[in-house]
Amino acid sequence: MKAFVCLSVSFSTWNILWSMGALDTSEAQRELPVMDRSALAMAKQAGAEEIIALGWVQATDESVFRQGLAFGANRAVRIAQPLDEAAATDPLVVASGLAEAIRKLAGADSAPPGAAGEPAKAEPAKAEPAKVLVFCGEASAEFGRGAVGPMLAELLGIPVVTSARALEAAGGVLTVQAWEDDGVATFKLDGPAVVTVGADAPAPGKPNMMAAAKAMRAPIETIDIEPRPASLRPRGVTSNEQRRRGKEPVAGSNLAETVQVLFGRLRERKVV
Amino acid sequence: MPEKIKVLSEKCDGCGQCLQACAFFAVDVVEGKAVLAESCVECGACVPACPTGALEMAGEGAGAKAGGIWVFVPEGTPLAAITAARAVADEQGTTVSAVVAAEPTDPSRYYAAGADEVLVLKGPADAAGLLIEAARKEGPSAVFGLGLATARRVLPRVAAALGSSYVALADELMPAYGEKTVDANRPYYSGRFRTRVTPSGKTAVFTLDPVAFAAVGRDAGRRGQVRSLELPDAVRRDPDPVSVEKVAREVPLAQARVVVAGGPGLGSAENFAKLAALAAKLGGVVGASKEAVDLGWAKPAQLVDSSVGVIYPNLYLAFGIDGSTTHNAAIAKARVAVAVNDKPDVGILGVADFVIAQDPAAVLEAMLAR
Repeated sequence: MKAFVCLSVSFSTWNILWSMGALDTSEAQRELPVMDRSALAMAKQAGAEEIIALGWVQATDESVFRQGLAFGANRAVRIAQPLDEAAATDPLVVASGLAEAIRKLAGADSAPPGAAGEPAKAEPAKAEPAKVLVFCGEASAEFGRGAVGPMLAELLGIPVVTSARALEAAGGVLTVQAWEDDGVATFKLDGPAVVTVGADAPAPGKPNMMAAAKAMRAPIETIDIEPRPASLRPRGVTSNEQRRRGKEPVAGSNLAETVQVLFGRLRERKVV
Repeated sequence: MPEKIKVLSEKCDGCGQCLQACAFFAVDVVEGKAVLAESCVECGACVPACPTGALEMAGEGAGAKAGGIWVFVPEGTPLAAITAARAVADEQGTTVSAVVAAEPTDPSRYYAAGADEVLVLKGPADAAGLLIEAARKEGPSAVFGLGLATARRVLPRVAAALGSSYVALADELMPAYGEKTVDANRPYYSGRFRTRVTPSGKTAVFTLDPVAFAAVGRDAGRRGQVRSLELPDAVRRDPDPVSVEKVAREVPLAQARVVVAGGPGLGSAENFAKLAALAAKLGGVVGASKEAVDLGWAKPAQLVDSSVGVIYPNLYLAFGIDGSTTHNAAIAKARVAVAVNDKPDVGILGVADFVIAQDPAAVLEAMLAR
């Protein structure tokens, strides 16, 4: 079965400027979120015949696909249509587009992809449940905070397991451990499903140099998906910027005294 | 005159609870009995507020109103979302239904939290399937849920099936007086900013931030009713677990009162591991900088970084963390931040309340020895 891993963008070192309720993200640096890396690792553990990294991110953020390829994806497909701010932060818009793309790509042959920038080979959407495994990093950079996975499952007509922390594959059955409200539940999956990967799933470190170099040369395919209208109307942005604090040095004649002085101050502030 | 709501004079003792429940000032007490004015919009908010059952709404369940707010309450989870919904319903002049999958043994706690009724969904489907089918049948104006594991799995499915707006982890709700829409504030760019959004469509779906919405109402005088809805055609999709190990999930960083965090300045994984002992002493949890996670000293779940979210501890202790922009944005809401770092010009020094400019590993040892 093909596996899709939905990629998003994490703003790793921000230079986001906020002024009068508007944001400028042009200077922010982007990278593949940690939980998306975990999702790629789980897709490999699941023994998928082909892993397709799929994302609806801007062309300028193509580096996340290269990272996805370096972390084990066989193909990388970017949804070509640009999204405005309202649509990009609406999980229903993103999930609907990803679901349509998955249906098209699941029906297509895994033929050699076209050159970068050319639409990938695709077939019309099918109404029956999609026969795919889908992995999503949970609550990563997507603004639905973990919503896209369950929405995808509904739109694809397949089950979902959320907050997965471990996965094993044996005899065509996936055993998934995932957080529920009251503890860790074990699920058995023997068919198509969406698995969202939680923060405590193991994440691979850095890809090896060979994989990273190969990923740099690989094509990034594109697919055309018309976005549905956004269902959330943004009404302005406010800043949660850090307040400046008065730096107060703490020192004593030796370490033990320094620690004692600190805890005295913390007690005054009633935080210990 | 209102037609649907009737005052049963023989039961009314003139206590005035209905006056307080009415958002439209459409109830009065005349000669010891409740009287409904022309301005009554028949929202039904007074009906469950009456302690003697003297107000009756014809045609519907006495506790709920069509187009009211639903609150999905998975078994064993807090009832705080009901209380949040109550506040919205009172502004909008509508009712709150606590939606559950099993007959409650003690429905009064749902009423005390703010529900007008407990709606029990019955059928062969999973929670998402039942909720989708029920919402299609009855058309609530909104569906709320506290943003814990089950609600965060079920409610996006419901929104997708209904084609509805979905607001994830709202930390503030702003109902429009007398209208059905609810604006919400939610974290934006992982909490560095906040954005206000207006959902569109018939049934907006919200999960609520469990930290921002932690309060549970305890109005023991509230009354309500239990109602069942049979849904034989609802679809089951999600698998049942084959087993559940009842373990407490580590307190997430966002909910911890004390966070003891470390970075590369600690020098080694062994030193980093000692943070756990200090965290245990202070009743806190261990956090880590991105560098510490990348070094394999800590799990991704321990990452203190605004790409994951903002944390709200009373005390944040940072050992050997230089303080990137995203780290410092993540700790912006900490009540007191302490930096232990022997480097002179690092970012964290600009945001900490207290600074110990000494070797982080040595200070950690001294704290453990204290």
